[in-house]
Amino acid sequence: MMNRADEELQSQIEKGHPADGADAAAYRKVFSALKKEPSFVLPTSFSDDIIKRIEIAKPQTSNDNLWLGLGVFGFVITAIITIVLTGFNPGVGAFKFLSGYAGLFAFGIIFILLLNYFDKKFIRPLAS
Amino acid sequence: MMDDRALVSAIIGGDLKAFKLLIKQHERLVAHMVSRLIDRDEDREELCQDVFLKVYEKISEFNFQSKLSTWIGTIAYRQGINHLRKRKIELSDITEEDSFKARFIASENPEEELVDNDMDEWVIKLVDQLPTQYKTVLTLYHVDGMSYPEIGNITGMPEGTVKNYLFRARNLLKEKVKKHLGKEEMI
Repeated sequence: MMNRADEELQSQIEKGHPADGADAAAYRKVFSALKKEPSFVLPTSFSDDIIKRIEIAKPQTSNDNLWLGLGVFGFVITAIITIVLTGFNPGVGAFKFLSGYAGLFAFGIIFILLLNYFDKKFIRPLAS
Repeated sequence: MMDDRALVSAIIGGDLKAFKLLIKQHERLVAHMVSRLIDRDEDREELCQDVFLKVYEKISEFNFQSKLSTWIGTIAYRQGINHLRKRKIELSDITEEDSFKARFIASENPEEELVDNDMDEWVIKLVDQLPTQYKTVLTLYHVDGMSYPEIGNITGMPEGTVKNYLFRARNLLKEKVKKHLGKEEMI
């Protein structure tokens, strides 16, 4: 509940009107302190840091996509010309030995998936 | 000096210099609000950045129903509260007003004693111990010079509640200062 007399006193002190007594003296000190800005200040580079973050997160422009497309197209054409000129015959030859280690590969995949699961479920929540 | 409408439409048009100007104009307000809500210095700057990134993301939704500063203040307040919730930091309860008042005035923590007789600094430390809603209305009213309706818009509290919290918060601080001044007279 608001105390009428106290509310009136706060209003008087805020307007700078004279008031006597211990309550008035205490309120004057409180009002004077409340005007002070918090000591936390942002660094001078603050706005630049945000602009950098926005620029990094910006989606690629159509120009960027055009260059990416041209690059991929150039790579595919070069690969086709190289295969035709060298008569390269793709095959699994060198990787045939892997078929003997199916269990090891299955274990590796499961192990990596488990690591990721535990990292997501337990490690990251603890670190954040 | 750009007005708010010109500034907002420049930002929507992709002008990052205009957004930089918006940050410069409102970083003080955001820093005040965040520093009152969040204790840890390392979290404060990051949260201030998140506030302005949110402003950038949502600027096209700003409809000039309020002042730009009020809208940015609302985002800062919500981000601050969400941060506290995410960190599982309990928002101070102000439902048990009487017991809080008794505890607040009676508490004698050596860390909160006056250093070099700096009364202002001491009162600010006391402000930090108040419930979140009290700290927020005190800062917006006294430091940022906002009106009751503006504070109401930012915090989502009715105007009467804003006035009431402001009164109660100042009353709590007054009681504590009065107690200290009384002690000084006895010495």
